[in-house]
Amino acid sequence: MKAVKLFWAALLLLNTVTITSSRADDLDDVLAKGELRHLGIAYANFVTGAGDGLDVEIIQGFARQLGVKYTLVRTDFYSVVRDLLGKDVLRKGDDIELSGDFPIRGDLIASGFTMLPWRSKIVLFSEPTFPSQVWLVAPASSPLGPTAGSGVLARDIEETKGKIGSRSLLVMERTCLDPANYALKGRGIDLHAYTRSSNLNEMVPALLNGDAELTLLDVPDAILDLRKWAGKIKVLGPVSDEQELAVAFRHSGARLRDAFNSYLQAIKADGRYDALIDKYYPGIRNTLPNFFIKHPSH
Amino acid sequence: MNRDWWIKFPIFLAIFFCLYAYGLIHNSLSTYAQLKEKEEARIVAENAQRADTFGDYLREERRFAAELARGPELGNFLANRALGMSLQYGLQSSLDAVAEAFLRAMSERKIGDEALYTGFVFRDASGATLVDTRLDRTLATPATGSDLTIDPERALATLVAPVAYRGVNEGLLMVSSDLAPLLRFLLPAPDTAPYRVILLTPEGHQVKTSAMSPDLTAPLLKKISQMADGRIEIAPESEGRPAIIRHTVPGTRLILASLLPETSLSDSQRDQGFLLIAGLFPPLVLLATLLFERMRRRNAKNELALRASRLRLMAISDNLFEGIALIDEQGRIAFVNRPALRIMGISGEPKDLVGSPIEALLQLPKQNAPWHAAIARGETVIDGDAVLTSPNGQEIAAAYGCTPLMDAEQGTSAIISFRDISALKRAQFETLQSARLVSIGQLAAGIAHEINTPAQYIGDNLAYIEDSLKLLCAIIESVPDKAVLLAGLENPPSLKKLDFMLKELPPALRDSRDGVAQIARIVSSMKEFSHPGSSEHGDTDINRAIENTLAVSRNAWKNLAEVERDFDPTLPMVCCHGGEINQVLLNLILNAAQAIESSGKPLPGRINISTRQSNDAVEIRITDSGNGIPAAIRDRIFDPFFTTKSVGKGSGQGLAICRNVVVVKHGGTIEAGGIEGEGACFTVRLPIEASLPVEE
Repeated sequence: MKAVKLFWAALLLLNTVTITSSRADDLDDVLAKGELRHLGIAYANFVTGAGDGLDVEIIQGFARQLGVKYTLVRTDFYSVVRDLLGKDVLRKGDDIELSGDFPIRGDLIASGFTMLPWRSKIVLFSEPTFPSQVWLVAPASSPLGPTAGSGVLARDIEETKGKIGSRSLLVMERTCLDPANYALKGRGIDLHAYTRSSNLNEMVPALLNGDAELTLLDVPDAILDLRKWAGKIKVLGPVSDEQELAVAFRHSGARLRDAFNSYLQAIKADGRYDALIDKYYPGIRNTLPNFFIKHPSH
Repeated sequence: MNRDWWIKFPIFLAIFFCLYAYGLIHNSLSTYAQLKEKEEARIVAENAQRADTFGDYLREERRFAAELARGPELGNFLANRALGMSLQYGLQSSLDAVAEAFLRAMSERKIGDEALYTGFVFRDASGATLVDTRLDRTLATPATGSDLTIDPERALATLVAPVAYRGVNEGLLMVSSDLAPLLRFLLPAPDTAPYRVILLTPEGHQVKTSAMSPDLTAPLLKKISQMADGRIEIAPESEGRPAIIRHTVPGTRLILASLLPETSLSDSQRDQGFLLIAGLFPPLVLLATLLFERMRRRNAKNELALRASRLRLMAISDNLFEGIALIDEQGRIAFVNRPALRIMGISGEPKDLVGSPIEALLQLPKQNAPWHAAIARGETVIDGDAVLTSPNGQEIAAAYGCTPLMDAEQGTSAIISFRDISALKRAQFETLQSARLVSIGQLAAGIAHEINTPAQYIGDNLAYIEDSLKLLCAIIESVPDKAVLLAGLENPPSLKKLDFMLKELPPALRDSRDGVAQIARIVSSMKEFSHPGSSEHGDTDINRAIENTLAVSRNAWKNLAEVERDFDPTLPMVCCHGGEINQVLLNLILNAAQAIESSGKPLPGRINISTRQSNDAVEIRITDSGNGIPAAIRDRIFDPFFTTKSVGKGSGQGLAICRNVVVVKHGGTIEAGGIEGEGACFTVRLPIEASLPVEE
């Protein structure tokens, strides 16, 4: 552990000498304070209520790599960006406005965090860590039939969106289930923002409770809910392209992000990544195989 | 009871034993038959139990396959499919859950450490394979109308369970199991190596479950297929005559058979062999009894003879004059006889010394013992004049021989034989002493003879001179004027001197004649002391012998003691060797004089010598006024070389010679007595009649 610290200290010194104009990186802060604070949201099998999960184990390994203490800082989808940047985020169309001053509670976000365009404006994303997609889900009793799958994703998306019509749709803003991300606003859809909590795991129970006729659900959560609520819900089809999840850093954490990317490559190379995927999402390779073709482990 | 009956008793006993043994055999055969029936029943029951166990297992697997077919994973998939979900959007995850359930079952359900299932296959109603977790893609083709299919060559069993959703057939679930570990764990064969458990398909094919079930021949498989359940049959000789038991596995048409060695079950051949051996056993025992009895008697006779021989040898050994010891290569005593212990003055038993070093018995002083050399070089060592030292320090004159003894089993040892020659040495000394005394006696006799002649004519002349002097003196005395007689002399003596001469000459001559007579007596005594007669026994006057001895030794005692004589004048003549008796008397008188001299008492002392007859013996008692004999040494004074005198005064041989002469040579006794502090008293008793020498 001490040797690792010395390595990173030496790397820091080298950067100081060669890039004299650069200011201190989050990596320096992490190494200096000897702690890596992981902002995590209880969501699917990324961060579970028990404190484990795919992202938890990945970041724990990264902290060991840096030789610092790992700390899980629990937050929610509404606060997670503010906890990382110390600023509140306000979206106005494609524009982003940061306001206020808040405590910075973490050094990175890793909690099934989707790489959305608007998020890329305010954070640095690592290499993708997991695939995702947003599906339209209905109760089993819904008269709507699932999209059969044409083999062309764009066509399937349009067919699926067309099924919504003016029905009520359960969404969660400022998350990956934000309808703005998928051009669902302004189409006459009866959007019902779920606000009782910021926990995405509560979307299906709310649907079955009659909060709306339909709901959006991302794939990592959907494949778990299909087992949990088998026969009670059905997937009607996709409303988004295939998405990628990643770890988010502050813009001041470029070298911390680079260090994480190096670590991610390392665990993909030695098999630890695949073991974690099989542990927490054993069927994901069959559901979204393109991601694993695009980002092979070896 | 006559003696013949007792001689024949062992035979009667053996016959009785034979009858008894036959009774036991009969009883054993009856018991054996019962045990055989029980054993056969047990084996049949065991096989039936194995078949039941296997059947129970298959029922359990059917139940498991049915549960899996109705399980939530397949149910979820079918439900989602019924909702119209496509594989691409959601349905695949349900199918993945099914595959996970199959893989979980494969990894969790094991027998021991071995996986039970080789794979699960889910095919929908159209026959399309939706989930396939087989490891090697092998699967027994399900037989039509049966939910269990066996692939005997690969020992695979495939169970088929229907999959339905809401009462509609949706496909099949096929569960493939490896029968080899299943049979190994569910149907363990007994420890007996040749015991085999075989599983046959209804068609009579043997399931190849590895080493547990080696291939059977087609005829044997056919025989097993055609046998009835629960019966034991013996296969033909060509098949090794195994005993076969078969049962149909409940709920299936499979056949489970056990093959065990024929010897596990008794049959007629084995019974006949057993009966033959058992029947021959009693007569053989009888014959062995007779032979044993004969050998026992012969051995007893030999043992008695051997014991008698050993006792004779021990008696001979213990009664030898010689001591014998046998030592091994390490110088330890292996055998020693009693004389050896007696000679060396060791008390105890010979066996006490066995194992001890030879030095515990004897050793040779001032030289290296030759025993080890005798053993090492095989030489015989003999020494006829040696001195052995006993463990208590006593030195013993001995002659010994040491002879090696070669023994192939015991190794080389040595026999040491030795003899006490102390008596011989004493005899040699006495012979030498006697010869010396004889020489001295002869010399003394010669001298006495030479002295006696001149002494005799000196005495005669002195007698003549005395007579003549008496006449001359009378003539002179008759002359009135003696001066006239002196006038004619050239140097005449004075008248006073003449008177003195006339007065003193007669007594001077008388003294001279007494002196010559004394010389004659001494010479005579010396002659008699030195030549008491002959070397043989003869009548001897003991009183005279004492007088002669006193005369010879007078010079030794005259200044020390006065001799008092108390002789019995009627003492009879004693038949003895006079010279040796003189030697005894001389030694006793000289000892008495020396005792008085060394006593420190005022001189002269007193020596009293008395003689008297005591029954058939003459008793001589010599008493002195010295200090007597201390009680502590009274038992040792007759030992050779024992002396209390200072160096040069005595050799320690005197009293030993006295005892030898009196006791050994004349059969008499000699005792030392007296009172300590007042004087010693030696009493010698000599038989009057001649007595044969005593062997000591």
